[in-house]
Amino acid sequence: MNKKFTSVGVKTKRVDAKAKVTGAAQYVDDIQFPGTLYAKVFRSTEPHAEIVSIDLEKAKKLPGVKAVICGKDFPYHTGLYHVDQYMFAMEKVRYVGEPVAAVAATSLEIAEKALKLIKVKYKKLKANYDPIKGMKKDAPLIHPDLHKYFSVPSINPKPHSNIPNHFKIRKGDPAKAFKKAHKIIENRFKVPQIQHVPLETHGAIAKTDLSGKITVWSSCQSPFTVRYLLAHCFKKQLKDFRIIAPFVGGGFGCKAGVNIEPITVALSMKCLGKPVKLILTREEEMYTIVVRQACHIRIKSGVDKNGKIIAQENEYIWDCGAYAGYGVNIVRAAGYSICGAYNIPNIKGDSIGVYTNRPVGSAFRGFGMSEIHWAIEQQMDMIAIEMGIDAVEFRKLNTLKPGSTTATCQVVTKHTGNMIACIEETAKNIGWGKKKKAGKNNYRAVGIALAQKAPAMPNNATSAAVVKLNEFGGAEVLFSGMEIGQGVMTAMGQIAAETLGISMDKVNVVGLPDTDYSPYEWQTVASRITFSCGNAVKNAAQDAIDQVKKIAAKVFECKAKDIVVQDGIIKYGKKTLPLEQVCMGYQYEDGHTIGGAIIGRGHFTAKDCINCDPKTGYSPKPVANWTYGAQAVDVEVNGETGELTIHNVSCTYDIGKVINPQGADGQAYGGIVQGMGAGIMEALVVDEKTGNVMNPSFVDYKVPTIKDMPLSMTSSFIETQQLDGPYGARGVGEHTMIPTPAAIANAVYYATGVRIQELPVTAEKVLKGLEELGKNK
Amino acid sequence: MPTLNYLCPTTSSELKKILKKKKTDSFILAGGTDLLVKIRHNVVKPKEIIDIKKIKKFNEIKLTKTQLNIGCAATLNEIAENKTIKEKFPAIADGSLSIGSTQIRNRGTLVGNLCNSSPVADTVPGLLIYDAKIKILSPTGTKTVSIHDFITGVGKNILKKNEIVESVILPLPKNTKSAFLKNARRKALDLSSVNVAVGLFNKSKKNPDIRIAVGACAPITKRAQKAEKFLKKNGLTDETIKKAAKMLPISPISDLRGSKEFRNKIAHRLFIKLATQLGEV
Ligand SMILES: Cc1cc2nc3c(=O)[nH]c(=O)nc-3n(C[C@H](O)[C@H](O)[C@H](O)COP(=O)(O)OP(=O)(O)OC[C@H]3O[C@@H](n4cnc5c(N)ncnc54)[C@H](O)[C@@H]3O)c2cc1C
Repeated sequence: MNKKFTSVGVKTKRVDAKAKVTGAAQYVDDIQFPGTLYAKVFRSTEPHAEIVSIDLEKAKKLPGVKAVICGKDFPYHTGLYHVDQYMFAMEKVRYVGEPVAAVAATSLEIAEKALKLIKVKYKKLKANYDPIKGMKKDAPLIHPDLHKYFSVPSINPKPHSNIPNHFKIRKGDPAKAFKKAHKIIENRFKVPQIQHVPLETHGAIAKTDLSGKITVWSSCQSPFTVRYLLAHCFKKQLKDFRIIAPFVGGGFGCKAGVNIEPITVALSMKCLGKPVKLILTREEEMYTIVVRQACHIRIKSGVDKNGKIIAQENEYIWDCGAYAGYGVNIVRAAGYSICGAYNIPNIKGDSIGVYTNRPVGSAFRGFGMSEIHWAIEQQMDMIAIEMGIDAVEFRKLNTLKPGSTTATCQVVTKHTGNMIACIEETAKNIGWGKKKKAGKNNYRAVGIALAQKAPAMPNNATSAAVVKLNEFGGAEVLFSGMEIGQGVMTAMGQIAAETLGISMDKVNVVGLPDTDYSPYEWQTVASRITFSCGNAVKNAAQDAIDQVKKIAAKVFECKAKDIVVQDGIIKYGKKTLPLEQVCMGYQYEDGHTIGGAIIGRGHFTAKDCINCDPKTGYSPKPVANWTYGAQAVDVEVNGETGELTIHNVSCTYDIGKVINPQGADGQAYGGIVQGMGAGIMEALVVDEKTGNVMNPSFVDYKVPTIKDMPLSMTSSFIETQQLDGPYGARGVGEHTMIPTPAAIANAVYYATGVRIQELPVTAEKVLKGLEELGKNK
Repeated sequence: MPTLNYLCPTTSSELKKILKKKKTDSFILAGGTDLLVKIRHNVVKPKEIIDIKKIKKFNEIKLTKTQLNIGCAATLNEIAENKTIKEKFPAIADGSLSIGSTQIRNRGTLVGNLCNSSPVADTVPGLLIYDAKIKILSPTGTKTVSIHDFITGVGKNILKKNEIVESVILPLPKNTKSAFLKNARRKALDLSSVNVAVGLFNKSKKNPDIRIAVGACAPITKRAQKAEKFLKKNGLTDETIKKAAKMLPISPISDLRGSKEFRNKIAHRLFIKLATQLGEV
């Protein structure tokens, strides 16, 4: 494509920048209605227990309390992929923090006081925090009714067990191939639960008006899915719900699906006409919402004499926590991506979710890929070292290339993406192979890791968009991909401007959806919005411009296909017409008018995606697309304290087409830093005596600050066009954090010889390793 | 609804009157960076708050010929940036600078850090090596006690309910060098896993007047007298420093910030590093 773009690919300032910098942008908590009631949730203090009795009477009598409800009042289930959770715990509680009852009162203080008047009696059950134990045959069942739960077709729960999903890959004949292997290398790795830590905690306001219509203002990633799940949960029609989604202060996956909305809605149904507001405290956010799943990993690889991997066993045992309504799909995603970006002919893969009594696991930027790449990318280095092959060369040898087959036997083509280019560019930018100078008593080296990820979504997940042209020849662009910080509003504006042939400043990006007025979007997850919603916007803009051309063709008396629209001017040969003269219909000199207000519509659904075979995982196309990437990290290890300094990070992703270079860089830097947090400091610690989270605040749950930033970061992008992507684009939102932890661990190994196989790579672990090797200073 | 009485005296005499009537559920407020956190977590439930920041002289950092006076409302950033403190008491300046973030240091005070009496307090090791004196104000007048007698346990000190710390007095030292180091899980906004202050109060390598305090490793941070005496007698060499490290009065616990083994190791390393550095120059 030689066409010169005017908006797409051009460095563009965020369209929401001014609103955010000035404070004009409204978030849920900024919305104030008169007469608001304040909600608080009564939560389980037991990790696993039968509920013997719930006494709400005293709380109900407290002056100012307007509603006190529990599971008996709303015995409804929720769950996106696997419906396993009551809105309020019913017969039993399964984690500390689980909602048991809720209160709405005229002030927050009264609501808090009312919570103290609620009495719940429990009969303790044995809690389990270890998924490996939970898999055993005689393990006590956390969900005895698992066999009765509804799950979507791609999920395979094991009845009468603690396993809500088991995904299998059976490719080739691994047993035979292992026998032929020159070397067999087997290792175990571990990933703890971590928190999303959005700057804005979960918040929602619900109002049931006197006619019964329910409006919800929610800090969410997926307003339409919230509407769908609420309607299911309360057994109502979609028309009974209206979801309004203001700006979101960070999602990272924890605001996908529904969270606190059902409770807020239930309270509002008991307080007709009154808005009910529920804003979580940071402490509640830390352990009562959702977290990233923990994972226990085993990888066994067989390599031939040349260093080619010929067989592999990958076992991922996921700690789903107490519920797995969303987590089961992470188990699936890890399943079809089981061996990362490598071409391995014989694979036995098992990705198994297990219920425990920990906080609930769910979607987290990377959706399982960050977790499995922690293991895969270290395993690759461990094999390379064993074989005496350079880590970069080893990856180039084994990675997916055109003609390779993935774990599900999908054939990679030259359009899928160019991992070799990603590896080479990354290695070049970090100065791979050049010795880095370390300070006195310190060690320093570079590590590399790859990443691949596909959007994990139902095969029928769809996006819609509307483009309305206006009197000035500009456009309103409507879609429901959520602006969660990733810059979707800007990207959608650019795509619309490019397709319409107008400049960005004429585009009104209407990015904050209202399900009563906005076009449909499945969810803002899976790095799918630029790709899927971008296509819908492009199609809608194209539809609008086709209508423009049809009218202009009549005016010019030519064929529509011979007309172009550039810079807001409709052109046919030397004849021109300003766009605004057609947008609302074209009026001839005598006054008669043809056409009228132009509204373009568009939608997009990825084509030909096929569910994986439940026995073998086989699918010629399990997902819409893949994004490949590589990242290298230059790390200095303090020989006295084990502390790490991240000097430099370079990354390269093949994202098909960079829509907004500024946005792509932003995603790269943000992902690196979040990956670094997961890599060196983050872990949610549960006390196995009480089930309590030990670090439910920032005192002891650490995320990187500005002072912990890498000293330098560089990002580059390869553009192997995605044939069905908008202007060739595919997603990059999550991929940027996937390789970071493994790249850091690999660098630490090259620098010191210390191999850390359990996240995070803390100074304490590194120092212990140094001592074991006698290398501490 | 609980009500809170907020008092904000502007003179010492006004404060004294308030202190006379002060009850146990009345709390002194300086920067509030400890107090407000405790209120939020229901650790304390004040009925009355006495804000001491509006008393002008409490905000002063004052130098005389023999001593430096740090008022109880002087902020950590003012202390970290104060020229005299940076020159004469670097371990205190650096300890102050290591606390929290710019925002926290703009509100938090050194005296608040001291009165909160946490074992991890980052200004305490510095105060210990300089033998700080604590000026205590009560309705009946003032008295001065030694820093070494001030903290009596985790979160505990000798203050009675109607006493406050008016200022910290630092005798001006001669021929000193000092330094402070902190180990934490991240590079800012974190509590110490270990903190160490070391000072050298004469120029003799043979009989060094060295002073050492290691924090976050015991319920009460104290001077490492045994190590100090040993070094004074045996001189400052790589070998003696290593031996002295084994004499530090530390008994760390294991918690989320680090295991006791890790804390022990880090305490040794940081001490060795500081003592070696001070001995070199
Ligand atoms: C985010 C954050 C990070 C932090 N990081 C660190 C850190 O890295 N290192 C560290 O050591 N601390 C840290 N702290 C704790 C705190 O900031 C410091 O202890 C600070 O010095 C306290 O000073 P303040 O003026 O805010 O005290 P306040 O909160 O006002 O008071 C603390 C206590 O002392 C009492 N008090 C205050 N002044 C007097 C007085 N003159 N006489 C008698 N009693 C008094 C109060 O009643 C209260 O009990 C942190 C706190 C936060 C919130």
